[in-house]
Amino acid sequence: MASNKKVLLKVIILGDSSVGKTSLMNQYVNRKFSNQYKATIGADFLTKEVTIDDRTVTMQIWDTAGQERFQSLGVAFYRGADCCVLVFDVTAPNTFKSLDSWRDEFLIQAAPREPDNFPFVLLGNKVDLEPRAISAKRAQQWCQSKNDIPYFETSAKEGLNVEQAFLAIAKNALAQQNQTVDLYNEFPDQIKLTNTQRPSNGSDSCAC
Amino acid sequence: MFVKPDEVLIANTFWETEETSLYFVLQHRKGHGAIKGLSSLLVGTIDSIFDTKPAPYRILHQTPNSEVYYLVACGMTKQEILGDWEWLFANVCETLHSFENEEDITEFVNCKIESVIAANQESEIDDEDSKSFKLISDKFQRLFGLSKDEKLVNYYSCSYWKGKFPRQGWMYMSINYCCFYAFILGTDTKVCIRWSEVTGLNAKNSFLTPDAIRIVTREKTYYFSMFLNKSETLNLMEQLIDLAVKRLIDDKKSYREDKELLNKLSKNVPKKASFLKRDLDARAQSEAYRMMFRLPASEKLDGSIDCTLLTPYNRKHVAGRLFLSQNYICFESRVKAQVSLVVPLRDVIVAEKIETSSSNQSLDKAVIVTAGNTLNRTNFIFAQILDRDFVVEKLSELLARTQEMKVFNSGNSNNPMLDTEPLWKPQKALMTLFPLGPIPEVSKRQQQKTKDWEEHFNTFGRGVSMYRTTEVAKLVLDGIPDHLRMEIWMSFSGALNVKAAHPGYYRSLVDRALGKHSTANDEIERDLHRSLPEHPAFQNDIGIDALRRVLCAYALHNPSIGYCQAMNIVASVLLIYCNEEEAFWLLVTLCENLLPDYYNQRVVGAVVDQGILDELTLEYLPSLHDKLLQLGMMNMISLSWFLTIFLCVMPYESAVNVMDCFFYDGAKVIFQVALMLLEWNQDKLLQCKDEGEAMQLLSEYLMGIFNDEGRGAIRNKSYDEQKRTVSIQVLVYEAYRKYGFLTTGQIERLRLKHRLRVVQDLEDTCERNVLRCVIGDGYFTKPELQELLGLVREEIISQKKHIPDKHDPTLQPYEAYKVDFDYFKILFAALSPWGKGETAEHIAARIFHLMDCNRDGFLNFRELTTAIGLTSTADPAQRLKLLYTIHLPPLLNMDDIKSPVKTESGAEIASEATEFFTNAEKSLEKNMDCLSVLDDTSPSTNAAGFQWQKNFTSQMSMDNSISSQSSITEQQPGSSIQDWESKSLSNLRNLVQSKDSKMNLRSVPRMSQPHFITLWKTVCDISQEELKNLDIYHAIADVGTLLLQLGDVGKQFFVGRDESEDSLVSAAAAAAACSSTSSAGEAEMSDKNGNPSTPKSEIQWYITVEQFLATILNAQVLVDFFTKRSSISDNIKVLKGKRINRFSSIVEVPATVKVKN
Repeated sequence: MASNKKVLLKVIILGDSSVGKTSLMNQYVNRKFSNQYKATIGADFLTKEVTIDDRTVTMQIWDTAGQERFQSLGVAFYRGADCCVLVFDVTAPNTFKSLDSWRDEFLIQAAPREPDNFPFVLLGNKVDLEPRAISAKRAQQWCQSKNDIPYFETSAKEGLNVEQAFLAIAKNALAQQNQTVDLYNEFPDQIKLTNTQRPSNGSDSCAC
Repeated sequence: MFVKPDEVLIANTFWETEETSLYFVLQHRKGHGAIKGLSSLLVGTIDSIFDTKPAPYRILHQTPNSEVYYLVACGMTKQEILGDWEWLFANVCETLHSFENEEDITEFVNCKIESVIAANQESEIDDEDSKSFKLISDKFQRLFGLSKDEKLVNYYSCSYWKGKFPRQGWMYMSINYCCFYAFILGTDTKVCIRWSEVTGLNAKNSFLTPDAIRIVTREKTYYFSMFLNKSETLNLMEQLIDLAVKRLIDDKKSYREDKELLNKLSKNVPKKASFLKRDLDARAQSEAYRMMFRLPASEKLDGSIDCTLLTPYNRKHVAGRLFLSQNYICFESRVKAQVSLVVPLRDVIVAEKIETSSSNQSLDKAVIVTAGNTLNRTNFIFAQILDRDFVVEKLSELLARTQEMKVFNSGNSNNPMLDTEPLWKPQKALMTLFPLGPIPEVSKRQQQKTKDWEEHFNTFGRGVSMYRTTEVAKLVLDGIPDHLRMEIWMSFSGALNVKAAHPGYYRSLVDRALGKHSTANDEIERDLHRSLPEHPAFQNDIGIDALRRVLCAYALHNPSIGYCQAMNIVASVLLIYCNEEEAFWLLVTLCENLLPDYYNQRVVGAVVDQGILDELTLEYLPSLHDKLLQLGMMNMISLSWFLTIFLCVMPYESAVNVMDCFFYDGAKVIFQVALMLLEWNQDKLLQCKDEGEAMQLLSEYLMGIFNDEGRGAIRNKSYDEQKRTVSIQVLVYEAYRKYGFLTTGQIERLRLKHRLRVVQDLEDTCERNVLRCVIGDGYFTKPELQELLGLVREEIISQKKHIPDKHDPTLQPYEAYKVDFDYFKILFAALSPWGKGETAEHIAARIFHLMDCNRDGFLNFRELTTAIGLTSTADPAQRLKLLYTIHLPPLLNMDDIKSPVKTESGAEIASEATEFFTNAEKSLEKNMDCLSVLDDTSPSTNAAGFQWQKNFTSQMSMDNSISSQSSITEQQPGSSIQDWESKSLSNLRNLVQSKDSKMNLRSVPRMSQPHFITLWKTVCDISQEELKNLDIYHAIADVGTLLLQLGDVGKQFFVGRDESEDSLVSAAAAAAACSSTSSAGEAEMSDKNGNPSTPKSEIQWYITVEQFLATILNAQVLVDFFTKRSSISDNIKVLKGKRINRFSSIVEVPATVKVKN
């Protein structure tokens, strides 16, 4: 794949209302925390450029509404997502419980080609707060049961682990994108045995 | 049924005489009955085409010397007519002989019949429809096998296009159905569409079907044409579909007849065909009326009449129409938007006639209405009222009622405890507490505006009953000055009217809502600080507390909405400009009238309006529409625009100007502004490469919309950093100039159309979710499940009872589709191979009991598919396990074997139970003669049976304690029965549903002999159809014998071999013992738990589930039998065809006639 080509990664952040999705996104993109965010209605998004393995990648991070009744309206935003970030609040057990439903709903609505291998990342946010209701172990167990989802404990307020988490997210999303591009190009390669061209470039050909 | 005597000239053409007497003839219609000669076909066709089809039976009166017949009675069934016939003989004929003159006889008969009819009518006062309409309504119900509740609304002559051929017939519409019936030359065509299944309706012109109405359902598209009055038909259809759809959104909105309409003075109401039609028409009119004048939802239009209104501001008489309803007098000018007026009756002091003076012709037939208080009076003068006396009479009647209400309310409002200090005080508009830094030029502008408004008030009046002209519209478009916002929002939005109708309501709501634990309150709490954080009022408890009260009160006021994110943002802005209670009522009006269904559990309203914006964009900005479609943008942007009326996407001080227009003009404003915004950004949007870029572009543009007349609350850093794009005044003005032609009526029509689509899509999604959950169980294929679900849904909709909230997020999707035992019985009988025999109902009852996990008397869809799947598609071992299980206690108790069976659902099958056992016995004798023969040859003594009984009870208790792991012997009878039952049921359920058996089979209770006998009877019963096959017949006999022997092995193990006899004989003895149990005394069995009443005895007959499975699975024929997979699809088709009707048992449901084509 041509390394000079700009890559666009679409990342969706999901999770219950007030687990800190907007704060995480803003902490990562703008490196600041504010307690003056409004509840997200519909969706919002920010972009950030990162360099991964010498490639410039534009991350398009979509922040969604968390209230249950908006869950089924996500379909518009999920289209063409490369990675899905699930967020829960480590001090609120209910937000952990609904992870399954967010994951399932995402898989149904986004309908990725390989649901089992679609990259998810789980973030347990608000670790700066006490008392904790969900232990790291419990969250990790859940991740293991879902095909080894990477897990990060973050604090959007203190900027703890946010950078690392999003880097992992970007890498996973990138891997996913490459994979689908490869898959996409496998077929023509097999027919044209003499074709020495590299798989065609970029996100344009990834018509998923 | 006797009818008003009517002369009949031709007595015999279409009729055949059945019976005659001296003065009466009983006839039936040719063609009625089984024989179908050509003439009967013709009669049928003629009747059908002209819809003259009379009742099939009639009685005529005739005197011997007269040519004239009188129709005196008609009947739908022979029974009915014979009843009348006999009545005539018993009551009339005797008397007739005493008359001398034949004319007297006829007169007497006619009088008598009429008096009978009159007497009957008195007994049914609420018989609101005309007789002829009733007849047709009956016919409609009979034709389509519908219940008596399914009243006809109206019927129209039309044709239905079946393929290329139109069929002339009649379309019948009821609240739930649209039906069509044609009968042409022996073939009848029936169409029956449930309104709630309709996914599309439109008027369609095509070459084949000109001027047709097209109705689309998920399965099929129907074309109807040649309507006499197409637009009326279409309107009625739309109305009925909308009712159905609204019911799908919210069950509470289901249709209820308005009985009040019956008592209404019918002076101006032309007599229409049906009561329901009148009701629906009235409803539509009231709705239009309420919308026109923004009145509360309870307001019903009483009547309207042409008149003129004297407009004092220009001293003219404006022609228009006067509208009256319970609480309002309204006026709308004939020239659109010239002037309109709403006068609440609560403000009216007096309404009286003005004496006509010859000098002023324009004040002819005038009425003056005086409103206000003693200090400040306003007069409204309506003139040229043709029917003035009636209007005045009506007005004073309404006024009197309003006065009563006033007294009543004032009496009530004195109640609140004055002695206790209230816990909270309603908050004044927050802007008064948190004034924003004064900006001189802004203050000046506000003062100027205030002056303009004051002037306007002086000329046109103030408050709700202001003369509303285009003058005020201009002022609103300019932006309302801050301190007038509350007053003007309240009066134009109609919120003031609702508030006035509910004094004290808000306070009591808040008192109840605060401190209540509910999901809504938790959600509200989380969002309080995330509503309008930039405003100082909400960085402070004062604002936060007020916001909490308003939102919590609303959640309690309307639980079907509860709390939806976005309401917090709207409410916080309202609180800035309005007092707390006013803010609450504005929120109510906004959520319930202006933006219907926006904030409900599925955000239906907002999705509907998204669809409308999409359609409008396609119409007015087609190239942009394509682009937005390609980017998938429409659904992304509009949600936040609509849900917060732009408050969260623009600086709120700008968006609040849109609110001004919105409260004045309704939801159409949002579309105007949205279209304008899209148009202005069209070129840039067309350049966008992806949705992110487009989103960014729009959101930056929107955040840059500024309002230089704002107080600058948002003139903090972030505001200055934003690019200033356009001023809100320009935006609003241009939006009106460019898209002002959109009307509220237009938007409402579009909402109707899109609501249908959105709701049906949601239904589809809901169904898909159910299927996804259930398909994993593996009993049925997807199409099979779909059909089954369709059946269940149909059933749920048709019964008006119990529809759980489909969208309760805490429930699994399949919980929304439930069947009760009655319907399960029907499904089981139709779909399950075990449902055909004589014991089917008992099997069904036990399976139902087993599957009903939460014991609520309903099976949810998943439980239902498991129940039916286990009997029809599961592998043989599973089916056998189920069979074994349902013959174990607690599903089959000893009581059930020897005495009437009671099902869990409370349905008493007792009456049939005795029959069941005799029948079962018979079939046993018939089919298993080898056993019964032996039974006869080895007579058993009562003592033996008695002995056995004791053993059985002890055995039972042992098994029970094994299965429930609790020693019931120690427990108080009664207290733990339920507990034990449910535990053991859930164990059994797990056994049946688990596929890997080995492990858990050990814990399964052993089965005693009487249970086994019953089980084996069941086997015979369910394999009855197969019994012709000798192999099965023998296999059942053999295996049954073998199992009985096996059971004996257990027994012999206990008693040793000394009793050894021919095993068959002992088996038979056991069987006999079993049959004797039914006659055994009550005493031993009185304990339901089966506690041993005597010490444990040694004699035990039992088989285990392993033995049972192994034995049967060894017999290949039986394995084949239990492996057979029956297709439920076919069965469902048959069931659907039957159109089971559980309510109208009176009416014979005619077999469906398949249309040949």
